[in-house]
This record gives sequence, C-alpha cells and structure tokens, in this order.
Amino acid sequence: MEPNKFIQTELTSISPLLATMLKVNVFTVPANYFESIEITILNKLNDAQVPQGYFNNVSTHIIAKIKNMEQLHTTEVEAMPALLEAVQHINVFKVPANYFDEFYIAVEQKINKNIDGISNVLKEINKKNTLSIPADYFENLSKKIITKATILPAKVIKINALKIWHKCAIAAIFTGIITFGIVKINNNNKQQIILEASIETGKNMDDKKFNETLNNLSEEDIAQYLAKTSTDADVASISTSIEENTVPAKDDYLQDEKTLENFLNDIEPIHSN
Amino acid sequence: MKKIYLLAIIFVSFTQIKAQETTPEPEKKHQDIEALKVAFISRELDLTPEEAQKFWPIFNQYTKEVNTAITNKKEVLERDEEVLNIRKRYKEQFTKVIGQQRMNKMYGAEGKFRQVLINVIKRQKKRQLQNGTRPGLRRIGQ
Repeated sequence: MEPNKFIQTELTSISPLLATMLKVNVFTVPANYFESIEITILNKLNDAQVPQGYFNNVSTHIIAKIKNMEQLHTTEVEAMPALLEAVQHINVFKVPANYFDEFYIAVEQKINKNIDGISNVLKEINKKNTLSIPADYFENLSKKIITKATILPAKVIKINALKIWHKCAIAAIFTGIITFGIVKINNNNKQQIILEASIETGKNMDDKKFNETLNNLSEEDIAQYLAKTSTDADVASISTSIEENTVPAKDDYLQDEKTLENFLNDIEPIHSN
Repeated sequence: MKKIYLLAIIFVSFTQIKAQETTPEPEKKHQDIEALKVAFISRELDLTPEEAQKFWPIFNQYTKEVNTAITNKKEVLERDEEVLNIRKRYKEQFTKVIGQQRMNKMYGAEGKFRQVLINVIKRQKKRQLQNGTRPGLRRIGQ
C-alpha cells in the first residue's frame, strides 16, 4: 500500500526520525510459539505439584524448625559468660595526668583570661572584698534593734473619739439632706401629676362643664391660683381693668361713707405678701 | 444610733406618702383652674389633633417652669424677668408647632384667662354688694 502523501509530509513536520523509519516488525516470536503455549503452561503446572502428604506433615515441620532455633539461642546464651570473661578490665578512656588536681587552676586561668577581655573594672577588683562592715556589727545588731523598737511610741487611736452630740449632728445633717431631697422630688412629681391631669380634663371640657367649674370657684381659690401662677406684671395689667370697671358709682358714696375704704380693700394687690 | 436614724427616715417617708395620698381642697381647686385654662386656650387656638399632640406636652413643660420660677423667686423684678425669659425661650417651640400668629394668640389667651377669673371675682363682689352682705371682706392673697 502506498503511504498517503499528506500523512507522510505531516509526519515529517512532526518528527523526521519517525518518517524515515521503515515499516518493518522489529519483534520476533519463536516458530509455533502460540500453538504450543497452552501445552507448555500445563506442563509447568504439573511440575509445581505439592509433594504427597505435604499438608499432613507441615505442622511437625514447623515445630521442628522452632525447636531448632531455640536450641541455637540457648547455646548462644550459654556461651555468653565465657565471652564476657574474655573481655579484659581495661579503661578505654584516657585522662591527662593530674587532670583533676589541676582542674580548678585551669578554670581560674580561663576566667581571668576572659575577664581581661570583658571588663577592666572586674579585673581591678580581683579577689578583694569590696563590702565592709563596721567593727562588731553583728555582735551589737540585736541590741540596736531592740533599743530602736522600744523608742518608737505606739500610736493609740481612739475609736470613740467622736462625742455623742457629734454623731447626732451628723445624723441630723444626713436626715435633713434626705428629707429635703424627698420633699423636692415629691413636689416636682406632684406638680407634674396635677398639670398632666389638668390638661387631660381641660382638653375634653365642654361649655357646660366649663361654666359650672368656673362658677364653683371662690374668690380665695382664684386669688391663690393667681398668686402661684402669675407675675406682678401679669397682675398689674388686670388690676388696671378692675379699677376701670369697678369704681363705685357716685351714689354709693352718698349712701355709705365707707365705700372708698371698701373699694380699696377690694383692689388690694394680689402679691401683697 | 442607727436605729434612730432609720426611724427618722421611715417617719419622713411615711409623712410624705401620707401627704401624697390625700389631695387637699386648695390643690383640687388649683387643678380645676388649670383645667379651665387648658379648655380656654384650647378654644382660642382651635388645634388639630396632630397639633394638640405636639402642643400640650410643650405647654405642660412651659407651665411647670413658669410656676416654679414664680414660687422660687421672691424678688419681684427677678421673678418678672425670669418668667419673661421662659416665655421668650418657649416662643420658638410654640411657633414651630402652631405658627407665629397662634403663638401670639396663646400668650394673649393666658392674659385673657386671668381676666375671666377676675371677672368671676367681680361678679361675686357685685352680688355681695347687691345683697348688702359684706361680712368683713377678706383680703386677696391671704
């Protein structure tokens, strides 16, 4: 079969080596290999057959092998003391002569060498004792402590220093403050409650109720109300209108000599207190 | 000592509670007049429900402040000044809710209401004069 030209050129572009290879089977099989392979395999299987009575004797075989190994170990252990005896009592580690005798000297030398490099101050101090204690310090120490301790007088604080009337005064002050606070809060609350209630009543009041309530008020009620809720400026403007409207008639003066006095009493300013 | 102190506190609290429980007659009358004032101003201003909802809390606070100032300040000029300041301060809040025109009307209505109260006194006095019964007129404010 002629190779396709296009395939050939494409193959050449991908791999020139593959394109130049001849189309020949490079693998060889012996003659009649596939015809005789079945017989060959069967023959091999027949050769690999288990010996007769193999499974009957297998446990005996295994036990025998284990015993054999145990025997081997016992002989090894038995041979140990002889081996150990053969080892000689020789120190295998070596220490230089007089190593431990001169050890501290060597260390000291090393320290001195290092101090040279680290601090001149430490080098200068060397092994001198820089701390000094006065003569007989420890002998007199306990005496000194005892004398100092006895000199200090014990401070006595009297718990009941406050006299009874002091206590009473303090209690009275506190009571006063608390009472004042309670009264103040109560008054504020009361005022608030009265106002809120009044607004609710007032909003829903009809004409009849209005006139009824108004006519039920006494002079004193109104006066007290005005005194609590009006300034002098407010009252002054009303007082003027009283004067204009309630000046007694001419005849009143003729009938009663006390008319003027009564009128003056009537228009007594509200804030006369 | 502690016991005495405790007793004092209990006593004070008790009297306060007692005082709160009973509303005395003058206070009830005061409450009545406040209600009349609210009714009077309510008529003068002709508030819508929405306006009323915003207006009365402000009015409540305003009245409280004015009354407190009048009760606390004993010096006449100081008292007048303080109340005037409160009124000025609330002017803006009232204007926001009910407009400038009705704000003016409201402050005016307070004066008008006082006039109404005075008229009641006047009527009573007139009646007394007509009846010829003037049993030692009590002075106002005592």
